[in-house]
Amino acid sequence: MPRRDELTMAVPKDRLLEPFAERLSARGIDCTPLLTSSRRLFVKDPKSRLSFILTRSADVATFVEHGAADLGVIGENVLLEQGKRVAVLADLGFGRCSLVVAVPDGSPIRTVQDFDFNSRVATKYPNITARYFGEHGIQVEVVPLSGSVELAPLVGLADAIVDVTETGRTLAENGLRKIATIAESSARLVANTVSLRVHFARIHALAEALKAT
Amino acid sequence: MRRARQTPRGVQDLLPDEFRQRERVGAAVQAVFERWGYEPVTTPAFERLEVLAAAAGWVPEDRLYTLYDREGTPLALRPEMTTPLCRVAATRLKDAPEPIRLCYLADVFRFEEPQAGRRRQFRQAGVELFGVRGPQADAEVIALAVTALAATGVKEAFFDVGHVEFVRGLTDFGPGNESAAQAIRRALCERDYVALAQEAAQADIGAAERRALMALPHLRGGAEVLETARRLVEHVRASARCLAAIDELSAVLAMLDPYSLDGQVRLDLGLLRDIDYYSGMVFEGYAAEVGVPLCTGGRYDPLTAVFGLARPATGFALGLERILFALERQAAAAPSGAEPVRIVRLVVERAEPEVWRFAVRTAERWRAAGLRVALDCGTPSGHAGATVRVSGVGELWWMGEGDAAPERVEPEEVPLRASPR
Repeated sequence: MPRRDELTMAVPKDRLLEPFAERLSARGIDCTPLLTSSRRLFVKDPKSRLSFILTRSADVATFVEHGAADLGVIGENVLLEQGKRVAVLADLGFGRCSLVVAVPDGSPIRTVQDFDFNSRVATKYPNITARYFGEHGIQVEVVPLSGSVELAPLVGLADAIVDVTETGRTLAENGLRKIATIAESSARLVANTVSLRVHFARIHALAEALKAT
Repeated sequence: MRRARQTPRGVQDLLPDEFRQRERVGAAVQAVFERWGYEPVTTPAFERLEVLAAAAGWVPEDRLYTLYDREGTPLALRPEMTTPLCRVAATRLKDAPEPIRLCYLADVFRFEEPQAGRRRQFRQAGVELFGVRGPQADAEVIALAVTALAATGVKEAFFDVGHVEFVRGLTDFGPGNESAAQAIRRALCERDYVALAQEAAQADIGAAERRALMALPHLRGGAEVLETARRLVEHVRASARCLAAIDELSAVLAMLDPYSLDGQVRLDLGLLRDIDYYSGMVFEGYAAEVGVPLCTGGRYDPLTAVFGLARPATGFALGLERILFALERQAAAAPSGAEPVRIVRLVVERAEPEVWRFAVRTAERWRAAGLRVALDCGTPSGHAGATVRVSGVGELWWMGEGDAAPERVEPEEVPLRASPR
């Protein structure tokens, strides 16, 4: 395999895709194929010498850590959860959300200190959750789910949830209220550590161009 | 229910071709080590846990395969060879004259997340150079690593060199500011440049420190980087520490100069391996096609003292599986070894005592002549290559690869026919 001139970027097929595409356009990189290709997962832009691969957000870091993609766009919440070994180059600014602990409206739990080892917390982020409660000296039972986490307290699967929220509307609509914020998160540009060494100047320039102003 | 048939995650069987390829890469590297005056040694596959814990942080304890023997002694499979060899240097080699040059080719075990190039059992080829304090030792191990890696056939490898004291100096904010220093060092280690910027902005440190930290990831390139670095650290609190590191690196580069390394070695002053025992120069080797380093090394003077005999020490390890992965990705040829002599299959049609005796004697003669002979009764099917049928005492029928019909031959003729052309 000859030394490549092209860089590959893994981009998630989720709510980060559109704002990222906008950011690329604003910097003169054409990526309309990214948005319009419904089935094509691999898109090249010869002008910018970038290739894009569309993946699930949970997989971006895997592609980048392996070196299958040189770069990736990933939410900080996902990065914190997965703990993958990638270089974090820039805060892209969009995709802002909060990782919160939320309980049902009628719940007797008022603060994090009201949790005990009997409490069940449903979440898509079991590592972050375990770490957070661990730091507060509380051991809870973590119930890992892959989606629709807000349902868990409604059906008695959990006493609380740890989830991301942007406006708070989904929480409110499901009768949940936030009692603590674990972390703020936004989208990050990440890179494979060896690719970063091989293409340092180019990747650095790209990070500067794409980061939140 | 059927019994499990796979190997555990992260480890694999090697079949003959794969095995030979790995052996060739190992042999090529060992040959270079020995030519530079290093002597091969080995240590047991498992060590006492307390020995490995001496190098706390070298490989995190949760990555060790721990076990107990029947006496209740905590043990672990060795995750690397440097700590065991420091133990050897302080025990069986305690009276050996310095410098001591050791090399090894050994399997090590780490409970890692398996992925391309990262296995749970993998083979390292490396060296330790004990007893030499100065830059010529650091230059020697870097040059040796470059040469050994080149001998494996990996193309366009490149090496980055740094110095832990430079980063430690830049993050030396004084007593009471340790948590900010740790946070910044962690960000550097994890290559989280966003966190670096955030921590540097928040930390109670001077403008000079802040400027130097933000510039750190950019301090890469040739010797000119050292001049930039010198100016950058002029006004930081621990500038003496940083400047001493720069002087050492400058001396190492000067000693590297005569080795014909073709610009494969560059500086990266932000290179940090956050392990307490690294005390000076650190370096890593890469190929663009592999997402993880092929080689890691550096100076680790404090580690030997843990075992009771302080000796300066520097060295490195190459990961053979990662090298094989790089060769595959590069479609590059592994080092060529002697082609294994092809196997001749001697097949006895009817195992009557006299015929059998003749077949065994013939096989013995051919084996003594250097042929590889597999002796079977009946009809082996599916094997390519030459077959010699024994239909009676002294009756041999040669069937070479691609022959339509067998040919009657004398026993003496076969070794000639069977040798590779």
